[in-house]
Amino acid sequence: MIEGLFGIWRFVRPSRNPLGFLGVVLVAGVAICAVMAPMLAPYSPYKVELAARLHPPSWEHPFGTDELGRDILSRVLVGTRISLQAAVVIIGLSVILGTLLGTMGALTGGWVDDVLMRLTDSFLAFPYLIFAMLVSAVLGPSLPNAMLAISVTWWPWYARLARGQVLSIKGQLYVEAARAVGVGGMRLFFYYLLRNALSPLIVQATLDVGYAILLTSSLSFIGLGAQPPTPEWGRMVADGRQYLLSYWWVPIFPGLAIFVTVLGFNLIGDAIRDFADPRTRR
Amino acid sequence: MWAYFLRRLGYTLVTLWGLTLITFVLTRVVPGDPARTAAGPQARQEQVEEVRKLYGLDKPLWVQYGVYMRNLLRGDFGKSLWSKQPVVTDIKAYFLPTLELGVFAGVLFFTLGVPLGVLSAVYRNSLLDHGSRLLSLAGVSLPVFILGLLLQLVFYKLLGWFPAGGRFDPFVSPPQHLTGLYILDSLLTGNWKALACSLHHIFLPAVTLAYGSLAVVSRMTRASLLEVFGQDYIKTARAKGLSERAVLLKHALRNAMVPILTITGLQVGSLLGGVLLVEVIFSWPGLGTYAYTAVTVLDVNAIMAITLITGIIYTGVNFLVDFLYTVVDPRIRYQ
Repeated sequence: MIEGLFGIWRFVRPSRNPLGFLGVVLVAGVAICAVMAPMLAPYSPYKVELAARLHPPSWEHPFGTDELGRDILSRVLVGTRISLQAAVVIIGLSVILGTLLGTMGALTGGWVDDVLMRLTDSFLAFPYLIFAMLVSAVLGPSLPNAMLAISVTWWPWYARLARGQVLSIKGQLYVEAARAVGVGGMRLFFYYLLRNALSPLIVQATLDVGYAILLTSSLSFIGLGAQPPTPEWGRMVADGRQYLLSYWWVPIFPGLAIFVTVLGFNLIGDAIRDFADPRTRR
Repeated sequence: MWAYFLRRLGYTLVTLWGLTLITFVLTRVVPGDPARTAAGPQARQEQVEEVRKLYGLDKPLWVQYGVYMRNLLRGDFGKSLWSKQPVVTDIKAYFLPTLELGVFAGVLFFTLGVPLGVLSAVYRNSLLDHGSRLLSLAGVSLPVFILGLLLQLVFYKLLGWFPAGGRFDPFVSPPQHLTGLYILDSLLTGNWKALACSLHHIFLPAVTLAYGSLAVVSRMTRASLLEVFGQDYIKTARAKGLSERAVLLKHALRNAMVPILTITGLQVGSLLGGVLLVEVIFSWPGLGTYAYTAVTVLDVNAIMAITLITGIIYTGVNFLVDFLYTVVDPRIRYQ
């Protein structure tokens, strides 16, 4: 894992892949904002100051203030942490659920596998935003429920990936050898199968962080995710939308924060894909 | 050919049945009190009991499932809580504007995305290629709702070129009603004023909706074409002296088409989701706006119906794509 992390550096060196490097810079910046948000934010993200309503960007408030006089920069900074946390939880849940079910299908085979695969087909047959909307409407509008809803729409991708991996590893000679010398049960599963199946899953999960942020903010935008006064980016855009034409900074800055974060993750993803696919490697 | 077709049809039917099963479990089994969920958060206790009776939610689960499936097969999706009408009636009223917007955006991203991808593949690593790469990376990273707001800000507020929203100008008389699709109707009746007006209104929402898919399709076209360019039969075609144009259009593009079609089918899913956000931003009077209203009052019946219907459309489109494979690549028929 650690070598893998340093390995990324090999193909995002600025000279080799300037766009991939830009992605690393953007994501690093966003991560720093997420960790240091309370220290970096000049004001409290919740502090209402009606005397300073809808002030345009200035030295005092670089991103301006919103309809309640709250400092938008502080809210965007604190929102970084919320969005990244949400994305990590969503991806984590989907990977765990997907790996569990996909591995189960691959190892059991037979009708269990068939049923599981048809089930993933059906899950993937819903347009994902609309399906996530139904799930979070049933669970009730809140950020944790939105995160759960997105994981429910997302696990089938990982289930299919994990299933394919385990199927190809299951027949490998070293698994057979391990079995022959008497390794069995949990140890065979975790040490020989899962560990080797995991790396493409982790790569895919990294590529998906951007999309997880996009989906969370989209659900929040239609009112099913974070509730006010939480400084979640999608929610801030939704609440600021009515001020767009006269006070553009209210919805635009949180919107740009989503864009920059997702762009960063996608640039890294693009670089990894370029590197992993020998046909496009130069 | 028929074997392939029947097998795909079988998979599609199983998938559709799975869709209905998932929504049943979600709306009837997952909530602690499905009657409360169906009646909405503002309902009083006696209204909840009424809903429980009405939908038979006091009966055993398998009886409920039977009733649910029978109603679905009849096209009965239940009643909307806030409009007090059958959901199907509501959806009929809101469907056409969404169809018009969706098809327009679909045509836009496909007819622009494929040529853009072809150009990037042919002039690989040129300025155009890098430009389209940047454009498409921005396209997949920019949330639909931010793009919509930015376009409104620039093209309505700053430049004043396009209206901020709506489907038609209230001061212009709409085209004669033939299909209900304004663009088609005004074309059919030769009503150029109405045509200009509908195009003027549909432009910004359609561009917003199409941009992300355009990005994905153009990248897929580029990647798929580059792979085909490396094949021996392309060398052969060139060696026997065919023009570059013939090599590209007859030999390369057709062979590159299967992944392009696949990704286009999948993009219909993002289009169906995106239309929800775009309609809200541009006050487009379609299913997205209807769904948004349903979400704000937590009208689970209406949301469930929309989810099922979009799922059916999406599955149908992908079935069609499976069928198109056999047209562009006859080898698939014989597998």
